[in-house]
Amino acid sequence: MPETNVKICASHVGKAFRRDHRFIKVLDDISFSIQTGEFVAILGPSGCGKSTLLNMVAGLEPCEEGHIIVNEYHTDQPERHRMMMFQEAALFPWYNVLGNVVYGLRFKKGLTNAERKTIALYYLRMVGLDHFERAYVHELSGGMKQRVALARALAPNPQILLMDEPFSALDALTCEQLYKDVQKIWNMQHKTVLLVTHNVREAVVLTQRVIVLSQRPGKILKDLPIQLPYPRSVHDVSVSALANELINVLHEKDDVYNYASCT
Amino acid sequence: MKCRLLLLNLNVVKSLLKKIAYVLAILFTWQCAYILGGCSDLIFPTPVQVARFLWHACADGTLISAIWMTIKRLILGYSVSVLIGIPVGMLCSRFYILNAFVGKLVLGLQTLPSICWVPLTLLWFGQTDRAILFVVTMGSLWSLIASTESSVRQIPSLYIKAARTMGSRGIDLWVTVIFPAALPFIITGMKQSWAFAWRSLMSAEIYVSTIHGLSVGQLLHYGREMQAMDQVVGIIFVIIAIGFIAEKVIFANLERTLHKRWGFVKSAS
Repeated sequence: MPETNVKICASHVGKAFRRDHRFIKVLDDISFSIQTGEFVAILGPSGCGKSTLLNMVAGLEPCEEGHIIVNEYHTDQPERHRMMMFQEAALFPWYNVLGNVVYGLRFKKGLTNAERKTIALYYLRMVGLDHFERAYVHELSGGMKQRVALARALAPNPQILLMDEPFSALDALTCEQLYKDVQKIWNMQHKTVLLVTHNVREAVVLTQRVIVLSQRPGKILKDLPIQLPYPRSVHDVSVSALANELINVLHEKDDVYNYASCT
Repeated sequence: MKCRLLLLNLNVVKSLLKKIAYVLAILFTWQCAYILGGCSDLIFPTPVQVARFLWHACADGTLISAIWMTIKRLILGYSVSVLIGIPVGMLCSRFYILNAFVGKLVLGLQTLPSICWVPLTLLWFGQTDRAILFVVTMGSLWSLIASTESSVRQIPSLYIKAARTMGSRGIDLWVTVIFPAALPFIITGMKQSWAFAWRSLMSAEIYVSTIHGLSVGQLLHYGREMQAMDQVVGIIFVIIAIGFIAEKVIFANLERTLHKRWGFVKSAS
């Protein structure tokens, strides 16, 4: 693989939090690199520091040990070429759906307001929410909120999309529908996507590569390419087989850990 | 559909009848207390006397113009509080030093009953409108600063995180995210400080009698001076009514709408 294609590069990243005069190490010697256009999952149990890692890639938290390079620059500030989705949709209830999607476009220079609106409507149609642009946030279901959040993240046309467990608060049926749509959109746009999740099947269904982290302090246990053809479904046998393999990787390290929630 | 509409109407009528029954019961008890108590009506007026006073005061226009005068003062004094209190409260939440300084001041002045400003304001401004406005502002400003400051600290950090990833910084972040996110809490604080403003205004109007124009507080005061108990009680009702309308109708509805839209309560209710 040519070196110039590396979009995100983490080398020897570590992080510790201070609690009650003690340092608790949450991330330990994390190194990986992600190619342009790659869809990668970071999989790990709760509390393994995977969200912290994503926040550092986003530039929301400082990287104290090691360094993270995005687009050949250090990440110390959030930037608009990296958009983020959160576990909660984090939509602004004081705007309607259209206003929320336009929000991220306000800082794009050289656009008229009408153009911003057109772009926002285009992305709302892409996530299947045309005709909802006038709705208010409290009128939407959880799945619809995440769709708006996806449209909002995609609208400024970022190079990188960072997803912090965006489907973990949704019910299974809604998730399945969203997996389909996310696959479809990724196949259209081929953005670099980094997805953090504790759901093994979700990681296998969506991504091309799964980086498995251990329990705290998070270390890389395995870096597994997923070479199944798109579109995939959670019900595919091949998906289940790979998911089981990953669960075994997690269990080998820690038998006590209950992974029932992820199957 | 028609059936449901009818049912709705029936419910409305029922609750209205209930309310009327409550009021009648209170008036009845009042009249009974007058008859059984054997007080002179110089001390304890009857409902009929109070109603007659209110009717005459409305008819000759004094009550209406007094209410207008009072509301004008309230809006003016309270607006000054809002215009100063909300920005200062927001600045306090942002700058630690300012909060350490203003916070202590606020805490001290907030505990001071607003009527204690009256002697000072009389010396500073004399028997003028400005004196009254000063008391109203002093009575409501401090609680508004304190509540705005805590409102801003209550907002979910996720909003700020999301806005920062989308490129919002500095003033823009404050205008487009922090202020609107805090707005439902700020409204709750405004409701409380409005109540303070209203109480302050009544004390000020009773103690500071200005030359031009009658106000509600003054009518109450003159009622006492003229030994007109029907006037005193009637004006008390007017004061209760104004307070009730502003607090329970205007502010409570605004609060409910915002809380619903901001997602603090389930919209099903």
